[in-house]
Amino acid sequence: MKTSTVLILVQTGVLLLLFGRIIAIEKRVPVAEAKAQDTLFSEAIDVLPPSAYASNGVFYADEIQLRKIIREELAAQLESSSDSNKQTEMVAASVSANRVYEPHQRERVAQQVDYYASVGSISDTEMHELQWEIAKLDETGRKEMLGKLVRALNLGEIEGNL
Amino acid sequence: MRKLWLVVSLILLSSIASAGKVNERPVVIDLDQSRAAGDQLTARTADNDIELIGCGIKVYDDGVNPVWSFGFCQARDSADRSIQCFTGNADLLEAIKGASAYAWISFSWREDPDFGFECSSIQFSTNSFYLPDPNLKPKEK
Repeated sequence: MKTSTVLILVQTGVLLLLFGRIIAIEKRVPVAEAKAQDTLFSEAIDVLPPSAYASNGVFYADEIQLRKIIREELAAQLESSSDSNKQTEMVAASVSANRVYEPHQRERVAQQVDYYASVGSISDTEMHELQWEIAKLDETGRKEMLGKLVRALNLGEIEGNL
Repeated sequence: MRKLWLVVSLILLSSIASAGKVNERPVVIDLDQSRAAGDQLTARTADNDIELIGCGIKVYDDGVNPVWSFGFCQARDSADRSIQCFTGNADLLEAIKGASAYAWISFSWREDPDFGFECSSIQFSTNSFYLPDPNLKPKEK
């Protein structure tokens, strides 16, 4: 008799403990996620198969069916969100990589002009490529580097045509 | 017979005169005045392979950075002295757009301590006397 009473008390205690844990977990779920789930739930209802509706229009899909639909929708949304984030990151990285002007970029162009001055000439193709590099600089950098190039041409350090 | 040749010669001379005025302006570079001038046809048909004069515009757009456009003028005389200047000035760029073939070109520059040889004026003149002689044969290489 005593053993039965102890077991009943232990079982009741465990049940209460589990109940408390469930409430605590539910409180931790973010409000946004709950909202998203609500939206998905309503969307899921929209895509329920006709068999899920009774003749009076009220749906009666079972829990397993609903869970399956919600899982699929969540997975699709997560994948879409992930792709979108990746694309945004790639574009941002590309733009920032191309817009890193100074002083590194300007210094590199200056070195190229110095290089052609040491060689003594620049071909039309090389001139075109060099001007593309200058075009990537900011306004002051462009003027400064084009000025450096023209000065080298006028001083006879570089043989070539603009 | 002599009179006949005289008449023929006079007719030929008058036909040459009726070709219109010709104005040959070889490339001249004045480093003291920071100015260069000359007409394109005379430079192109000069008895050397170095003389030149001209202007141009370049525009770069890589789709990422702001569009970059600049204009330039360059000249080299028969003494092999050469000069080039550049500009980003909107009015001077507009002037360069007015360039045409067989023009007389004049440009001047200023030496900026930071930016070098910047164009300060650009002039074009397109007159009939700069046009090529219709009977002129292409220069042999």
